[in-house]
Amino acid sequence: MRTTVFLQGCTLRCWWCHNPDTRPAHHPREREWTTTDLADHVGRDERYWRRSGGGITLSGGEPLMRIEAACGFLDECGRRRWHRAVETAGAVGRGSIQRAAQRLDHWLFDLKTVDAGRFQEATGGDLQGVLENLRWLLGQTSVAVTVRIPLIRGFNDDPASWDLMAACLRGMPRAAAAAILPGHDVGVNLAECPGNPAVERHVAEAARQRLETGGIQTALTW
Amino acid sequence: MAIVIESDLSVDIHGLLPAVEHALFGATDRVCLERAWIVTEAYRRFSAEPVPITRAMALREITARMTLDVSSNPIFAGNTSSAPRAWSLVPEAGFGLCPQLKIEHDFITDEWFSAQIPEDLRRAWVELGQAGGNAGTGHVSIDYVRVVNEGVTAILARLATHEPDGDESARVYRRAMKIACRAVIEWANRLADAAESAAAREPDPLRAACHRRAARACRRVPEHPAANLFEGLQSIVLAHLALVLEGQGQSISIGLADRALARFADEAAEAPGASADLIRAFLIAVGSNSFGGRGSNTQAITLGGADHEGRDQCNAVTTAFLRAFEQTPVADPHCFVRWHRNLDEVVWETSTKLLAGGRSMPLLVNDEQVAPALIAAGVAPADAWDYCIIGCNELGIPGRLCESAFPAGLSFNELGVLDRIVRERTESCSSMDAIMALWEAKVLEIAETGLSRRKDAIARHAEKLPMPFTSACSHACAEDGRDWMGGMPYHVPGLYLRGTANAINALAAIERTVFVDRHATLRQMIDAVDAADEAMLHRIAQAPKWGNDDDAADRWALALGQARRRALETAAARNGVPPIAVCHVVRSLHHLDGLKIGATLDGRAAREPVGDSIAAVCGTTRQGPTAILNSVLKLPASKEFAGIYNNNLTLPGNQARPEILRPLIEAFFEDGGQELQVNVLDAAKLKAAKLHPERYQDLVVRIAGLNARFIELSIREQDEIIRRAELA
Repeated sequence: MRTTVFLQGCTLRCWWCHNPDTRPAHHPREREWTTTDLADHVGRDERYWRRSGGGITLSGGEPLMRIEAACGFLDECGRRRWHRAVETAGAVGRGSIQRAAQRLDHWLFDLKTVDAGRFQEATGGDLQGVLENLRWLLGQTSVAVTVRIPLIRGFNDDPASWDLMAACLRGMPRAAAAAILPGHDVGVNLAECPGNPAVERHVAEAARQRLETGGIQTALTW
Repeated sequence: MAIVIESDLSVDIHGLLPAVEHALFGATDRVCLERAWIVTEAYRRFSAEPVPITRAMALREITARMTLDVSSNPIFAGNTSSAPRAWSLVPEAGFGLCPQLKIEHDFITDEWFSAQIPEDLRRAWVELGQAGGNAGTGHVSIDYVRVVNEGVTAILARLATHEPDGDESARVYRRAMKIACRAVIEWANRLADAAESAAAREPDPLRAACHRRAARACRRVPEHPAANLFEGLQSIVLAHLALVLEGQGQSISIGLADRALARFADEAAEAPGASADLIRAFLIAVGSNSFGGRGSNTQAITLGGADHEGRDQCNAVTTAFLRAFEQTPVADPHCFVRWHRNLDEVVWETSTKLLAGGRSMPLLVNDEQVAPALIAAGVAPADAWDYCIIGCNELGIPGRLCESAFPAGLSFNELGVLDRIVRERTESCSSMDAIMALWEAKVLEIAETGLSRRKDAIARHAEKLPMPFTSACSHACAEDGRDWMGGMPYHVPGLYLRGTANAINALAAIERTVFVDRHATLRQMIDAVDAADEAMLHRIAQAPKWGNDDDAADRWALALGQARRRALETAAARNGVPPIAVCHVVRSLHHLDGLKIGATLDGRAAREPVGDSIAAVCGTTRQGPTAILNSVLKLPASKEFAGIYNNNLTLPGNQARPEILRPLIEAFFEDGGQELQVNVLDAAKLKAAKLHPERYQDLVVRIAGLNARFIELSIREQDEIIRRAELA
């Protein structure tokens, strides 16, 4: 069990985003915290982490976009000996990745596609930077990394996409486990975004098998 | 005397179970008048006798003359009416209809029920006089450890030993108990005859074998100690149904079933599948022969737990019960597991798997909070650690304590009381302290009046509606020649609370609106709420809410609890009774409470239900399940809830894997949580079940005090559950 802290602001504009409220740098109901207060607040869940091997997870938006705040909070969590993880799309500068890497126990690193043109079109981001960040993380650190593949209907729910992802991951400096995210109904009814309704189960299972066949250890939680 | 265990699992009943389940689930509710008429005649015939004798003779007449149905469930013999879900009436109590049943089932209406009671029966009871109430008394668990392992003969021996003791009334009562015990033994023999005849007629060899086995068992139990698991279960079925025939009403509970059957644990361990199958048929036997047809949803079975020396009491029968609940979608009886740190691993794993799978059972209760609270109320440790759940989620000790589950006179809606105070004493509510002082005074007044009414109610029940068989199977009653009501060894009065979460939210909203922001006076706030003023309702919605681990709201839970505790302690001391066992009990009372009050200062609209759980009002939590539990953990459970606090946590299906549930529950209990009802719901599935009930026969949900097959619930409660799932 983990407690997730969502940070405001994102570097990407994925059309399927299920959490568009977090995209702008500021939110009408945002609340500012000191790192100590925030740690005290989330620390109320420590009893659950202790029994489950859990901890805190930074998410967003793109939590590494505000690297100063993120590092401050991660340092406070480190002082309390909490397990620290991040959910990132990796679309940030290398310096942010390097600073965060010193403070994290686990990276949940999104891989939406390995086609740079489609990535740019769908998210507005630069895929090359993302992949270089992932390569650096796998090459220069020994931290646990799970590559998370959100299955998006009509975008990456086809075997050709999965084969390309497997090939890309095989070319990384070390093996990283992959995890299929089959989508869910959260955000589906929001006006700004269509959300990412879950793919059918057999599609998610096919993706898992295809990636396994491609040499990538892949988990699927339905 | 050593009792030889002779296993009788030779009949493979697995293939028969679907038909037995269908005999229950496919049955239509109606009223069976047989018991009512026999009791009427018996009351006329024996009216010159003392009331306990009249009642015992009535039981004897019923068991001697009633129609025996050994075919609906050929595996276990015993029935209370002509068919499953044919309601047996208790005219000696009254002809009223429990209003909660009308909330829970659309087909149950006063007109439907009333039309089934003939005028001449009504007239007869105008002359005979009714004791009052609509459900007999119920809310009892007798000591099945004794019934199964010593048999009714041991009770008769005890009665004989004490025969000359005490005054005339005690001797009369003992005579009534003896008549009642013999009536039950003779009934078992009648059932044995009927099963033998059925076996002779039955062309199907499997059904015939079942009848023969049931016949063999009924020759032995409940008269004698059971010799195997089958007989143990048959003994419980017969004694349990005899309580129904005697006139006990709602919520007759089985108590500690696995402890009563512990002697047969090796048998269950050697044949786990066959044992689970037997228990499936047992659950149907208990569920199909109860008071109120499908309105019976609260016959509790309690499993697991530790004894007073910390020894886990789970055995292979415990596991077999859980597997039976997994495979048979009964909602009644419902099942509680008593958690403690050394709970058997298999039992715990099976329990969390069941919950994660959406079975809404077992309900969980923490020994480490409950037993010490009973000890603090004066119960001996060995007995306190023998506690069980009675009814929805009340507490008792089989055969030793029932008053904690008997709320007569002591029951109130905390939101309703707070609402009355702020409306009737608006000018005196000059500060939050003043409101809390008025609250405490009002609770003291309610408790004092309630304790007095309760004393009268218990005396009236014992006098007008004695239950000699129930009493014979309870502790101290045979020895003292007294009715179970007042005669059991422990007298811990129970108080039923509702609306607590709403009351907390109302206090937090008043504080924020009137005393912190000074946005409105209390009078203005009340007027705005009554006028459904949108700006005010928005302001209230923004106020801190209980269940979000927010101290700004949660401190009012503590203030409310402290004030309540002081008032109840004062009332108990003044009346010379032990500490009052506070229990947050709802079943479907949250709807009835809501219908009685207008709009309230927590933002609840007029006539809307109050919250059904101590945990949070539906739709007011924003911080997830851990925050809900963190709020509840701030309540000093063993001090303020010497009953049970009814904590319902709804989780969406995709968050409820066993590996998540387990640490969640363990953390909650290890840090002081008392009770947890986990409801894993999938809104899409519930909506589909509402549209296509025929496809969702197995779907069981937990509302507050009851489990129910979703497709049998009223539209109102189906929609309530769907909303909860959507907001989870």
